[in-house]
Amino acid sequence: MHLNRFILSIGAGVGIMGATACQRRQPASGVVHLRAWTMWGGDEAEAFQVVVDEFNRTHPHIQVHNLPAVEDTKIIRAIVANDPPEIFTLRDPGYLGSLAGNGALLCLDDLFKQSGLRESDYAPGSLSQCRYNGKLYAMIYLMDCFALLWNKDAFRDVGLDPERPPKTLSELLDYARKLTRRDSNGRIVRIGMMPPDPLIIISAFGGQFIDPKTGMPTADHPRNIEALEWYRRLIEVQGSPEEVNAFQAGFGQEMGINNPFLVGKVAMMINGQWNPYWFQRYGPKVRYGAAPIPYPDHYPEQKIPTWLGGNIFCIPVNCKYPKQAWEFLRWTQTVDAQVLFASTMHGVPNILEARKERSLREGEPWKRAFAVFMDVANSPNARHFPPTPITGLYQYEIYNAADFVRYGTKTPAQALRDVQKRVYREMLFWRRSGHAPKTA
Amino acid sequence: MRQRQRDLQGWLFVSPWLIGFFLFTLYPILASLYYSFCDYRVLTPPKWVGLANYAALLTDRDYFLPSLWNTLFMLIELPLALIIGLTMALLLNHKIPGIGIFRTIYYLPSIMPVVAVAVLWLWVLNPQYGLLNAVLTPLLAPFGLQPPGWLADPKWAKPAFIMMDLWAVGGSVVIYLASLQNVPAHLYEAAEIDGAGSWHKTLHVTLPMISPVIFYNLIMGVIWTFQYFTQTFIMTQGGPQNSTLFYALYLFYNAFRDFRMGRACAMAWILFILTLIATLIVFRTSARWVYYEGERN
Amino acid sequence: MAPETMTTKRQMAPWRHSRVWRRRIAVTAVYLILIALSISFLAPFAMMVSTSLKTEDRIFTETIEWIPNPVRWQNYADALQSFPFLLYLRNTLFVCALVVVGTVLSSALPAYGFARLRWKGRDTLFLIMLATIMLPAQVTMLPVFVMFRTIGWTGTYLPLVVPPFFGSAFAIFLLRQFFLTIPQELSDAARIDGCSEWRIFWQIIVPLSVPALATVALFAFIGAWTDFINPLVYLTDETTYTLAVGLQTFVGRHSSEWNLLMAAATVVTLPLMVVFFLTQRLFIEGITLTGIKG
Repeated sequence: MHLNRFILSIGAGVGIMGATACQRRQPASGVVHLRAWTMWGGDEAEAFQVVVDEFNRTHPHIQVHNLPAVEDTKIIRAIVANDPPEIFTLRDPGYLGSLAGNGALLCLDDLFKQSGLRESDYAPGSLSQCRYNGKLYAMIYLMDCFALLWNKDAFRDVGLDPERPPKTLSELLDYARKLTRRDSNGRIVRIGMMPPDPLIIISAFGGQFIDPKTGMPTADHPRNIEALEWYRRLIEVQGSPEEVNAFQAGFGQEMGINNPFLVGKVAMMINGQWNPYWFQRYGPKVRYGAAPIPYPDHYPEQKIPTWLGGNIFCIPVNCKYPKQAWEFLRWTQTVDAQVLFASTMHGVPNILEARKERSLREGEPWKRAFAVFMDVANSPNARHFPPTPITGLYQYEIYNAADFVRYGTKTPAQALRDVQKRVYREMLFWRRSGHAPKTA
Repeated sequence: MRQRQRDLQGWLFVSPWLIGFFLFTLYPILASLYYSFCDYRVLTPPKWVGLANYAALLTDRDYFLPSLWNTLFMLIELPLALIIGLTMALLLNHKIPGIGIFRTIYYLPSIMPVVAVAVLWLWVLNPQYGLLNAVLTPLLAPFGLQPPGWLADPKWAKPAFIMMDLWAVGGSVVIYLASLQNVPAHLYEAAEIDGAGSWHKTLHVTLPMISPVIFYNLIMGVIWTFQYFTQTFIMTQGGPQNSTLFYALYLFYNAFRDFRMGRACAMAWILFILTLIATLIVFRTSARWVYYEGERN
Repeated sequence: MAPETMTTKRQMAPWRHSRVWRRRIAVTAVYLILIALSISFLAPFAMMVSTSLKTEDRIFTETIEWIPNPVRWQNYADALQSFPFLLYLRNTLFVCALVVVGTVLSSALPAYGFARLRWKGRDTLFLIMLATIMLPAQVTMLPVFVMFRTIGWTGTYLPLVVPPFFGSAFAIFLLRQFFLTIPQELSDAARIDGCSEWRIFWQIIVPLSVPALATVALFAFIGAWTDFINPLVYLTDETTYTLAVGLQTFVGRHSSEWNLLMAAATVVTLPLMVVFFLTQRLFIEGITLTGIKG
């Protein structure tokens, strides 16, 4: 967890690109050159470049230039200095609320209506990630969704049926306890279940972050408290919080052959749809299964919960070529563009039609697991964090609360009540200064 | 030369810095002061709110005050760095063959890229597989003790950072070394004739003569400690349980995560005042222990 | 410790004999301590180099492997291919040279003014100068950027190389401390002879301060070499990037390939090590041109 966050935060606090690229354009020749600043680096940047190349090939009058590995703060500074790129991604979708609320993003409602795209084309939770205060401020190009992955050999080891994953959250606790293994010195050598992102668990319980009617935070919603209570028990059945933490600290990078799941340090985990491909690449011998996240026993209506993310593309409000920038975004919504990107980036298409595409589901063995993710993403219980102007703070507070709960320093109720106090106050502050949304 | 001419000369010599101050430094500083009295959301124009930011911060028991405490805690590092730095400088001052290699080794931490240093220390401090605990475990086992969890343990995270910083003490060592060259040999000879041993020589000749530079390292140490940011940003992001949420990190979060630039500026100015007070205290006491050969009259 | 004079055994009286032995023991002790400490100082660097030569699967092992097996020299080729090393090296040297020259020249003069002259407002101005480094950079970053953008300097090297020509508070402070250790008699004598302050500065103070000036030059050089924030903020054309920036974006692009990252980091660090090793004698032991110093 440490190292992943470290990767995400490298480069942040860094400044901004200026105007030189602007000067390199030659509008006189009739071709419009767009700068796209994207968050991806390494292999993923190459995957995106494939998409960009295809667009450039089919749109000779608009040429997109991708700048990879760009951090969000760099983009913010560019906007402040009035020289932003024409298109940019938000590594942290939480920034959508703040940027939109401050009027930094171009509202896309009109362009959307005129383009012939229809709401019904879109998967659940896709456009809603792009809306703030009821208006559309971004486009989504592929989504992330989460499911349960389990190591079949580990199951077999402890006498569990390798083809039968846990269906409910209490079953999950039971399995986690059984699968945790220690060596002769009592030190953990494998934990049954990797402690999941608390946001996912809260969502699985049907918890609520923002009241849809008032638009105000509800951090201490009773379901949220239940979720953190379950979270605490999950850690408890596997060891003391210090032990589990120390064990987790020794995990290798997820994108590589030292992925803790692949090397057998973790028997089950809730993770994203990019994993089947990584498993194929870095640990093809590992036998694993993919299934929907278990649901809470006494809330059966929560069946097939999943947590959604997405690649959010925005156009700044002071963009010099908004129509051309929209051309690119519009193109990304075609089934061809969706399938092309999904096949290299291994994300879930946000256009329903594209999800049916056979080339994404069949062929290599890992695609069957990938198909599970795509199906799970259709669930009515697929949720994401609502775009708010305080998302960064809100999520940080929840992670902190989970930390306190994990160590037993606070009870879930206490921790979440403290969170609620602070985020409510912050939201009020935004409201009073005229920036916050009237509804969720 | 008349005093007027002397004054002019003084200002003339200082003019390169002074001009640069007015050109590059003054505006940003004044801007940040103005923002500290505003509600400034970065993407929209600032709105004046008076002392609201300051009041909100000074009554915030959840983040602001802990972050201040965390940073003040790091001041422990200063006396340690002083002693270790001086000792090492004295060691490295011997003109024995191969000393250049040692000096380079001890200076190495200061020139390694921050990115690499962060990753390497994450590995070294790893509770399960790290180098440090691999060495400590057999040493502590006979006493029935286990090595600490370092960055995974709220009680040990800050000491871990102090350790990391002391490892990079080579920068101040170089300055000490340079100033050790300035100590006139005849003073040592005079002390020896009086029968002084090496400890006595160090205490009564070396230290006073390099006190101006000790003073420099002390002031710089205070300023740097108050602004400590990069390592915690890369390695722990304030965790576990806010134990490494340092002042400058919380300031960064206010500015670039929450878009509360006004509050971040208020934090900056509070920090400024604290640093100024600490520096003035050191200045005041300096008259007693800093010795300037050049001001003997 | 002052160097001792060595005498041959023949000329030594018995009590001087033990003095030579005491010195030998002292020197041996020093070596032993230095070697012991070196181990802990070198360890992270050794890890860096060791990792830079490992294959991906040997990076995270249960027990630390110091010697890579197999050794993958290819990592260096891969890392160097990832960013245009020679180009960035040239850019970095360009920036460093200007920063060093600018810093040393423009900091020595104010330091002289603060240290060797008495004038009205001296101490207040000195405190103001110190105060300018007490404000954290995060809050001045935005206004500074906007300022440079307004005068059109973004996208060029100017924000990086021009400000050092207007003095660096750290360097001025350090040099002031050094200048204050030079006895007043030297300046007074020269003044009586009718020398201008300018001449005193160049002909007396500067030659006596070579270690200090060289230290400032070294710090300026290393600071400019390792600075990644400012070039990343102000440079927009990738062909103008410096090594530090190249390394930083390398991390963003190859976040999971630690072995390559360490190879790149080693390559960026090695020149600094060499520079330091070759020049450390100069500024630590210095070249003094008068007989007053030892």
